[in-house]
Amino acid sequence: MSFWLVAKWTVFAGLVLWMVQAGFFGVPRLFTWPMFSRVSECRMDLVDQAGRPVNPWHHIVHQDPGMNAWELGCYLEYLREVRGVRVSGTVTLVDYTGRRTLAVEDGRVVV
Amino acid sequence: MWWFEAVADGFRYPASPLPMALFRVVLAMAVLWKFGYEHHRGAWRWFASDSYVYYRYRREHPRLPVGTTGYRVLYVAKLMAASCLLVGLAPRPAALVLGVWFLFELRYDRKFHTAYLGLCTLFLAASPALGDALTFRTVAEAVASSPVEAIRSEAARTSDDVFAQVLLVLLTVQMYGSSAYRKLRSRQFMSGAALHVFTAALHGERHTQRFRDTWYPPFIARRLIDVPDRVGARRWRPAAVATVVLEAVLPVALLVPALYPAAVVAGILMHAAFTAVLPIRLVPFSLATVGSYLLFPDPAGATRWPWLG
Repeated sequence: MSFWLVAKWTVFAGLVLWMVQAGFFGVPRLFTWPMFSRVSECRMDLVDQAGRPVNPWHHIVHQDPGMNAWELGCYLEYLREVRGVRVSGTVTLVDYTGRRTLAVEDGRVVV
Repeated sequence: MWWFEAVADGFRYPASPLPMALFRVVLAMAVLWKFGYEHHRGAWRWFASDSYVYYRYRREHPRLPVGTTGYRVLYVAKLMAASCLLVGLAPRPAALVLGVWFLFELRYDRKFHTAYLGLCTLFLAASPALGDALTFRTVAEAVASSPVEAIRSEAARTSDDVFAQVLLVLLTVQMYGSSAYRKLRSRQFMSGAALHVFTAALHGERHTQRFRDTWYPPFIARRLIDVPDRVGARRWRPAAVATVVLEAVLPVALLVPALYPAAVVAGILMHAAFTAVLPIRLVPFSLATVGSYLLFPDPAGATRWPWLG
């Protein structure tokens, strides 16, 4: 049996095991395809210190409605540290657990 | 079925290069579409020092330092690689470069379609016959003789290494199977709520978005989107159930020659429906997935395709 055939069999067997494990068990990662299985929505109603509305769609990569609590914290931190903007207002998170409304003051989630 | 014979015989099976070459072209078009709309949406500046994308990337991956310059070098490399893949110029290195790019892209923008495109390009790079058909040389030969004659002679250049094609078929089968299983286990998806939340969120924000991703006809918006959560979920539920059933059945149907034509039609209709939900972003994924259907029939049979005369 040639070296390349052994290599191909090894890669194939490894991929099959990986695909089964990742695809059907455990947390989502490469070879996991849970498209639309856990959808979330994050609607922001925020203004800066001067009362001007802040539009998050100008900063995020895609036009995705979803943002979890960590991502929201990261985004508010970015506005504070890079843009120098300390926003206030409300953020509504909708996900598979239900709907939550968070209050934001001085660039941080307070509730 | 050829796929099982090929696996049993050490990934050897007489194969025309035409199906893989056609998939290469479709995949390159899908990738160029993705790069094109992302460039239009400012991708060149995503790793600028004041960008949120870059800020978040540094927070998540402090040990993987790719700065603005590194990102732009990779950016140019991916565009060149996608163009080379399309015309069949050094297609294997081009596919490898694209695979590396997509793995990097997943570090700052985790999207399932990016993972699928990345895995397709990486597996494609394992095909020794990738440049044997439908390249820039084909155009020259088509001008000298005729397009059908040029492609017919390329289709006849059979080889017996189908390792890459076996992996790509496996990937699409696993993707559909895993997707159906995960959706089936998701109460949010099976209730129809996931599709309603997603479409309602994008539709509701359409006027504040810098770049739109949705254009739902007024009738659809009135019936399926601008309705209370409970009503919306109930109306989306048949679509959710149909998706799971189709995704579970398609991989098997694509592998059975007698069911293949019906499976292709069903798959195209399903992906057209997906793409209608996200008309810009899902085009590359739909193109690549439907393009992978070319790899399911017996690859030796490509020399007998009717349009080759």
